[in-house]
Amino acid sequence: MSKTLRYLAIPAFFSAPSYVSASSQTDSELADVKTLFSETESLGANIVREFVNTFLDSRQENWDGNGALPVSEASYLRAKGFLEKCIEKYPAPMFGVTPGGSLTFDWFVNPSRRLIVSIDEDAQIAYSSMFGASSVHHGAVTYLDEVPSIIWAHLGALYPR
Amino acid sequence: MPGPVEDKEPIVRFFLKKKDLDRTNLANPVIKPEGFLPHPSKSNPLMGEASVFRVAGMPEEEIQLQGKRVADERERNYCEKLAEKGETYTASKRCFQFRGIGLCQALDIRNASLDVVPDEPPPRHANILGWIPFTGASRKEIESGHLRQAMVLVSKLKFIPAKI
Repeated sequence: MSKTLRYLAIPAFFSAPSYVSASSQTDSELADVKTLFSETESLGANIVREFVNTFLDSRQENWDGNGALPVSEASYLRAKGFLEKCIEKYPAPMFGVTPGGSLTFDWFVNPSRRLIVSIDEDAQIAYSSMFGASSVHHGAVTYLDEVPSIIWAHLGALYPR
Repeated sequence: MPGPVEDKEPIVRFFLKKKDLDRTNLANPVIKPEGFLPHPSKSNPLMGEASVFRVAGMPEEEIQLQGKRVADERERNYCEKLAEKGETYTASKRCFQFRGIGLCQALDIRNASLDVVPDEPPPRHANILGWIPFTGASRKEIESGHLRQAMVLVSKLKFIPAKI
């Protein structure tokens, strides 16, 4: 079964420039998104639902009650493109958000074997990986259109074939 | 709680957001390192801190109650900030709820190249310090370092679900 996100209908409000202040409109639009999700059944749809919900829950400032920055629409779209490329070859990750307003992908095997990638509007993406307590790596690499080779290498190490 | 934090002291972090945990496996949820990432310190915004509690000698019921208190207070503060901005708070959509506890020893924190120091009030509150500073490198380089520190720390945590 395909895991791509291509069939995700981007709701109209994703192109609205200032949805944060229009709370009643946003509530209505969220209801539309939920209806859309409830009508989908495939594994791919579950991934989409979780990913989009992560974004929706974090697109307002202070979403963590501790002053976190919001996730922007541009960050969401950039992260979505990255995710589409990765899940063609590897399992779907868990989704998260950083206080700095980045979306994260967490490929988790166990607490000591995982890879986290963090994406926002920045040209660079951040990653950290762990392959046992004595093998922990981190860094920042440029991501434009192609998934950086170091990310493929770490995913390959996490999920050997 | 007086005095410095001893290596063998139990330390807890309360999970208050749904996104702090992946609950695909309900019996054994996955703790996400993102839930541990630091916020700029109020006293020095270039340095990061993450809030924890010292729980030596506390019965588990009291730790659970403390978790609920922290969640309630965070929710209250969140509502107040919404009100300041003129936005409406919907009580049915609670944002912060006590969802569980991440338990470790202070030594686990120190082994992750971090430190834990008292920061009262409230009683028993402490901060995880020693995060890579929010300066001196690109934003993403700094974030990757924080993810590394949080990832190492989270690998040592024991999860205890909320029971109240």
